[in-house]
Amino acid sequence: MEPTSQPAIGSTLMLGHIFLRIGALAFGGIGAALALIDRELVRKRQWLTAEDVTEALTYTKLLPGSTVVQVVSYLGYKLGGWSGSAIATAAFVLPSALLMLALAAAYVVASELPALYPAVNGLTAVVVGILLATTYRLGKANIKGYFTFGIALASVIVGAVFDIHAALIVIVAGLLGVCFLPMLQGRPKLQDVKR
Amino acid sequence: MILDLFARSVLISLLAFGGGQAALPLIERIAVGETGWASPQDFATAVAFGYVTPGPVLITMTFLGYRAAGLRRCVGGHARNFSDAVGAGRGGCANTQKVDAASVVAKLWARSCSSGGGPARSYGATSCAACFLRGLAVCRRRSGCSGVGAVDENPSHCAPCRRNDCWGGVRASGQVKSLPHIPTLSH
Repeated sequence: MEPTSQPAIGSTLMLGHIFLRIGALAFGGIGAALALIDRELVRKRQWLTAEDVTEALTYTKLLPGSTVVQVVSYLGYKLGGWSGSAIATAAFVLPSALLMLALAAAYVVASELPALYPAVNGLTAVVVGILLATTYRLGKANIKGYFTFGIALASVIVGAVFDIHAALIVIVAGLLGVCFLPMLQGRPKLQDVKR
Repeated sequence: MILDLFARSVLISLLAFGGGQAALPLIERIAVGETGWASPQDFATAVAFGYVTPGPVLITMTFLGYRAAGLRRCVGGHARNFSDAVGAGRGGCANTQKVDAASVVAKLWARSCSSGGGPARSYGATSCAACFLRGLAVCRRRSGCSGVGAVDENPSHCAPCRRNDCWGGVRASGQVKSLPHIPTLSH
């Protein structure tokens, strides 16, 4: 991919401004962020096409880490080169990072108050539910057949019963997938990866 | 401590295949189980906040990083000191006391302004602020203690701050409890 045009200082700042707003408004994970990007950059300003966004998603899905942030970096590069990418990423993360810092500071003070213990207990229960829902969603999207189900089951057992480090499980499961999935499914074609 | 935080965060990021949410179990493992940066309750709150705030869920790490290496020891420790003082000789359990945020802040400020150990001596507003900031700046998390409960149950284990002019001792119910000296900031 190539940046579509040489970045000018003004447009880079504009890019930062747009992504700052997207970052501040993207409540609800990657779906919300993509919807905002679609509205601001694809439909309203027409700096990007829907294909650009799909392309960004396709490439970044393979990378570890937060997918939204990578999509933003990719699109930032596309619009403004390296500086555009840096500004867009920083601007996108900034609002939530600042908000989180404020929340953390408030929590640290508030958690010393005994009156708030029940609230924290309630939060714990909610988070268990959220994680279960996430597990279900990820599982539905990624468990396709006995082999992947076996890996998932084995990870649960190894993680919960044998207390093996999660990082090790991720690495071993990845290696197993690299070794055995192509055999079971045939070599993945580029079209499949690009969907 | 900061380097450790950085290294482990990079590890989490490198292994977060499948997006940020897929990394949450790994984060839990590292932040709660391995390093004790946060208690399970802290982690739950962090994740909940991660979903509430806009942007990526991995911003949870901001919370945990703050919890691990931020100003917590100071604030937490001094909230405890305050309840000690109110508790008239009771041995350091914040759970039994009513503490509200305003009084915690007031106490923090007062403690910055008084020299530890001796009779509370008033400084000017400027040196007060300087002391306050300095106290926060030298405050570091000690290992082997996690969560609110641990702080309350074992105060000496989780001493809040490095000894200095402003934060030297804790005056509680007429007697001076000196804080254990924290040798280095690097671990």
